[in-house]
Amino acid sequence: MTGAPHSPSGVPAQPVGYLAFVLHAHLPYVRHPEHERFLEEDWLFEAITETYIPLIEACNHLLRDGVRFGLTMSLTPPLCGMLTDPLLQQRYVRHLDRLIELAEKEIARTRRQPEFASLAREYRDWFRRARTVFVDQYDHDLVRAFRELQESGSLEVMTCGATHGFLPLMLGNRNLWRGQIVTAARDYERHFGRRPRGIWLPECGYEPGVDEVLAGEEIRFFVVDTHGLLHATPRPRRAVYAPIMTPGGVAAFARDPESSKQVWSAEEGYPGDYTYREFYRDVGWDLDYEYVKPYLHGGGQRTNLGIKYYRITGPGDHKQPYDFARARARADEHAGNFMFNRERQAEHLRGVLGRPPIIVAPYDAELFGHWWFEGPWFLESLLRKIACDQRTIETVTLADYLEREPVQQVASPSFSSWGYKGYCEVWLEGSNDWIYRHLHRAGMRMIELAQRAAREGWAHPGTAEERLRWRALCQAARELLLAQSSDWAFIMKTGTMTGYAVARTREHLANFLQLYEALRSGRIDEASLTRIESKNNLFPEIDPLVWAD
Amino acid sequence: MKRKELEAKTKPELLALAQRIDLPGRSSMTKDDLVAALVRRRIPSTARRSSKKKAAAKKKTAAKKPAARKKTSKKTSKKKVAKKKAPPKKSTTSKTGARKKSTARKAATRKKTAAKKATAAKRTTARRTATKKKATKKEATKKKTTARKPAARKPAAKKKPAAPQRPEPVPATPRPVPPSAPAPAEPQAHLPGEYGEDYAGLMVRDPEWLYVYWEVTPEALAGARERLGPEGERSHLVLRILSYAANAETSPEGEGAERIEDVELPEDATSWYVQVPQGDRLYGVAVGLRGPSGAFQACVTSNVVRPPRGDCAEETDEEWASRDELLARLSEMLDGGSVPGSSPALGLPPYRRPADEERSEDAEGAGGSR
Repeated sequence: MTGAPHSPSGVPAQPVGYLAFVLHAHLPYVRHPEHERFLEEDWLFEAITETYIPLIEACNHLLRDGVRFGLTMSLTPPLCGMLTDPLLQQRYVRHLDRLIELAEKEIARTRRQPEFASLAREYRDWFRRARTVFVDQYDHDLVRAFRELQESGSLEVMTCGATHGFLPLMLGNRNLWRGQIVTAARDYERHFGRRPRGIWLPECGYEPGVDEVLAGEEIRFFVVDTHGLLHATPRPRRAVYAPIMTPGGVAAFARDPESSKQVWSAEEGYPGDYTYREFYRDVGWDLDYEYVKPYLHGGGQRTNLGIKYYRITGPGDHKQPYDFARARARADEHAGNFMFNRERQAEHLRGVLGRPPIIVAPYDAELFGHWWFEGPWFLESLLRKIACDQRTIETVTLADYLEREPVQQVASPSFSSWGYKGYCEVWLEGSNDWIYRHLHRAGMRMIELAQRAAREGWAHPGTAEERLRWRALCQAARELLLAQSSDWAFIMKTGTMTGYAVARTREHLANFLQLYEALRSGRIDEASLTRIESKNNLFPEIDPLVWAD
Repeated sequence: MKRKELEAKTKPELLALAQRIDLPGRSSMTKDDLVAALVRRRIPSTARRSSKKKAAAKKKTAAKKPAARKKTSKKTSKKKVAKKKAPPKKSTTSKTGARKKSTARKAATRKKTAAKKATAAKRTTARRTATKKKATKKEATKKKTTARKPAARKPAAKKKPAAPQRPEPVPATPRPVPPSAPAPAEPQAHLPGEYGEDYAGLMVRDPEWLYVYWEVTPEALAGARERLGPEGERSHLVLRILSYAANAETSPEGEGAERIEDVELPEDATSWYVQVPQGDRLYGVAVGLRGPSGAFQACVTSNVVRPPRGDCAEETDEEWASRDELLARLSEMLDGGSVPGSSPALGLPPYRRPADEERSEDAEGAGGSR
């Protein structure tokens, strides 16, 4: 749909400029069947209710109304794995049911305070709606929802590193890069029924040479941060407003700093508007402990429950009740402002470049809805306005842009990431640098095992013993990938929930090393293997030989 | 220790015991194997360890404490200083499992920091000046960072919200705030302190800084010492930082290898942050022994890296003449710190309230975008 050069409403065949809105949806793989309830699993549940379902709904509203739009999104393999996992699906429904019950109680509790009672009703209806979408519309499978949106032509889903492993800290080792990239591409095919055309490099982490591995998987584009293109060699002709073609033959797009700033800026960014919902005032913290206790986790720690009654209001602690309708109207205004600014930007850039620029605006998907509650409304309004209210810019997916503008300058993007200071400091500093020795030792051992397996034909087991050996090798690969997740180093750096990140890193590395020793000695403990297979069950079709090539 | 006592322990605890007596093949053993092997080796209970052994262990730990930050004594104006990195501390005293080990590590890190501070105070004036300059630079960077970063706040699940200032529609009972939500107690998995192999891994942190970790086996050290001949006995462990010409043979002795500097290492150092004079060049490091005459024998050599230039390329493309004014404007935006990065799902919200200023001050440099 977005591939068409113009709309029936008479938009010129070539707009003044393109806007590529890109959302990166990712959560680390958190699944704990060994516990009845697990606090960190709430990351997924909150994101489903607040981000993924609202985004799916926003896209569905636009399609229903015949609005043309182009949106690019990455769904990482761990996220797809969790969204399709029956245990987590069932736990999410349980989580929603608890919220619906709490919202009902809240309606009763606030019956003499109309401004809060109406909010409680909004929340109850909102949770009920989420349940309908999740259970009735998509039969617990939100990956299906994204797949259907992709098939509609308006959404382009990219893949990512298999477990969001940060590629520039893998010693430039192609086999380790392949482990992340090839595993992800194959997993994407399993979920979306076709090969991925684009990839969101974990943390936008790029190092020259990665492009060759991407090209090997026929991936056609990726995104780097602004300086990744700005510092490319040779100098990029159109700065960050056109992709470049890497020596490996993959297109590299770059983030536009101006549009980023409008959303992210602490001072000027939209999400801090006083009309918007206050993230930090949640009934999980605000209400009487005994009252909310049944909805808290087993340990009884207070935590966010997802019902928030206040708007940001102002800089102090005094908070006014939230107003859904007012906030929605404000999101609409902000969408108009964002569009206006992009129009002017596109006109200016078109004048400088002599060609239609592409303005790439990437964000973490979870910003929209989870952190910035009104984000999905903003996005829906923006896409609708761009399609209906003006003719200067057009939204486009990154894949569609390449179809329309196939000739690119050849240049090599710079080593870069979108982390603080633009390189690797977030994932490599005093709190987390200890992990790399182990990750790299494990990586080298994985390559050694994979090469031996390729030589000795382990992939075609005949006997029960050989089948067990192959299973152990597959699990070793899973454990390595899970240990490589950049989330753990990031959490260690931020200093919150560090214990969990350290424990996960150690657990996967120790599992890997145990399996490595077992494979070397030929003494595989099947019971232990079965236990970790059932716990860390990501990538059911993993191919360890990917590490051998 | 009796079989029953051993059977009551978790596998990681057994592994810790096995590590203590250096039980061969322990990492591939099942719990039952470990119990059987430990019973055979008659491992003593921790509580029954003799004071002599405790003293020996203490002594060993003390010896393992890293010396305070050291740096090269020679430094040209072009050459930058290699900064000591706090090496990941191994807990050599832990006997009762990984949890204790983790605590021991934290304590060791605290001690190490204190030791560093103490030693830093004893340095020469020149050295202090250098450090001060560095600190000033760091502060300047921090200021710049402050302007550039998006809100730095902790996830709400961990934080008690501010108390309301007006009557709320909710009961105003005191809020019992439990400790921050921890992961359910699980025994920490065992990781080897050493792999018994010679290796060095070199990584790029940014255009100016590299990070290297290594392991040198006693055999490799003895080999290097022997190759140094009579000087071997008086040699020191050194980190040699090398720059390579493009297409040069990337070994310390290779043609085209230029020595940037040698950093004398504390004996127990296993990692280091290295500052390099410029990006977009090939660098490698070697860990080895250097004798009094300057003779050097490598024990292990790292991989080679090329940190980024960190700036626009000089090279232009005739066919695709660049719009330099656009590049300059974007560079200015980046340098001005007006482009915040992302705020991840697990990280920080995109806005900041004045009430958060104090908290975010603390988080500065530890939070921010990823």
